[in-house]
Amino acid sequence: MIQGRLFTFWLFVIMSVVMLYAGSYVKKGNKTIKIRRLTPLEAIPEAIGRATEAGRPVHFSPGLAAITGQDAPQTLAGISLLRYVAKLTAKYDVRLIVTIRRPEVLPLAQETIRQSYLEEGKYDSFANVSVQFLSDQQFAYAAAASGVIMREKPAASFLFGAFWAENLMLAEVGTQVDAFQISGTASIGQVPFFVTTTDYCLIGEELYAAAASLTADEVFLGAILGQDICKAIMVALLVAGVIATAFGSDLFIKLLSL
Amino acid sequence: MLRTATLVITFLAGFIMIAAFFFDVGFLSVAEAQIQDWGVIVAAFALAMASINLIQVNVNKAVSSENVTDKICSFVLLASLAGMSIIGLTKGPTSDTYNVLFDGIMAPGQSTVWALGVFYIASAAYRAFRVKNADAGLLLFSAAFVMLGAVPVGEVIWSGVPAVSQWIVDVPNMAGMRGMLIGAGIGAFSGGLRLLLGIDRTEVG
Repeated sequence: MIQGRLFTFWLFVIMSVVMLYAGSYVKKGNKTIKIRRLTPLEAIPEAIGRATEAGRPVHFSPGLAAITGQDAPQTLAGISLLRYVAKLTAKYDVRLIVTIRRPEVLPLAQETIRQSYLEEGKYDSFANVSVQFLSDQQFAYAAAASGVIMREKPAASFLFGAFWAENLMLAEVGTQVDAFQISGTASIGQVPFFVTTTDYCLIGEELYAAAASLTADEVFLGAILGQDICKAIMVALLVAGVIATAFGSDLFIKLLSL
Repeated sequence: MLRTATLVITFLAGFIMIAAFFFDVGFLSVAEAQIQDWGVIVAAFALAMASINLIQVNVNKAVSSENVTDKICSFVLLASLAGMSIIGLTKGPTSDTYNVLFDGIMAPGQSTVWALGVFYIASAAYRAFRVKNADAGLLLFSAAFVMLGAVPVGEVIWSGVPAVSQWIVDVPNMAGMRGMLIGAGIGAFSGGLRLLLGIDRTEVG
């Protein structure tokens, strides 16, 4: 075991067991999980409905992160939401424009959309979908995506995934073309910008929970239950750590450095 | 068959990376390095595919778009792509010509776009600070304190402004941020675990 990673290892094991157990527990029908309403998700059909009425396209960005590294789960959550959005654009025959920053996300997005159009029986309309790789440079992507939004004037813009300093630019340009905007990110530093500039925002873990509430699959719902239990464990550890430190004990400091 | 192979590769690659993070075992470190090398190769192929997509989309626009701005933008992009590729292939990416073009056009262009952010912050702040309800009022009040605390005039108005400003940033703001961070971290962990074990197969089709 590498020095200093023992505590992290056991935390990893405990969290994995809790999440898998919660998943199987819910799947067996032992517990009915009810997820609270996620208003941003409920607004997605409304946004696409507005685009249908206005005869304008829909813009989607799965964020700027890759499918590797610590921000990858955000990109994958964005792709899950892309599947839902693509099904709705296929259903209502609305043109979908997807702007991509990371090259490896491009085939993933293309395949997800193609599959969604197939499932909706609208494969012929897939030709109208524009999945565009713009640039792998952050601000070149931001400038290009802003240009696409300004020229295409989408009636709805969805920004789901990991974003950095460019998020405000994308959201503000969307506001300028009067797009109905729904965002979602777990990049904590960027949440305030999305909250102030977009109509609805999935904050932090809501981005991940969104997939569960879309599918209503027991395993996904079990994962949400597992997440809540893990959060309770974390809070308990935090409280215990604060109390121990307040009473002069360095037990938790030693524990964390094991 | 293909789907099963994808799930097995995902599991093995993820498992080796996790195991190499925790355990100092020779063959795991070698396997981890190999997986990262494969990742670079896959990324290179993806970049080639993305370049083809970029050319296809922009050739279509340059030829058939009814929007003149679209045509001009696509033409400039294609010309720049061709120019940089030719110079990069013939003179090398470390040549003076390539560096002059990169440092003289690309880098200042990116800095300009970054600098434009200040105008977007101003317009977003204008909308965010309109007091429409109690929450917006609280936002305006706390933001005003934080901004005043960051400039010398704040201390002139009242000597306690910097301390109050710092308290807002360090206590209520930090508490909220950490709460979100823990939730987001656990959410990411859960998503990763589902993907690793093949429970979540949405990315495999």
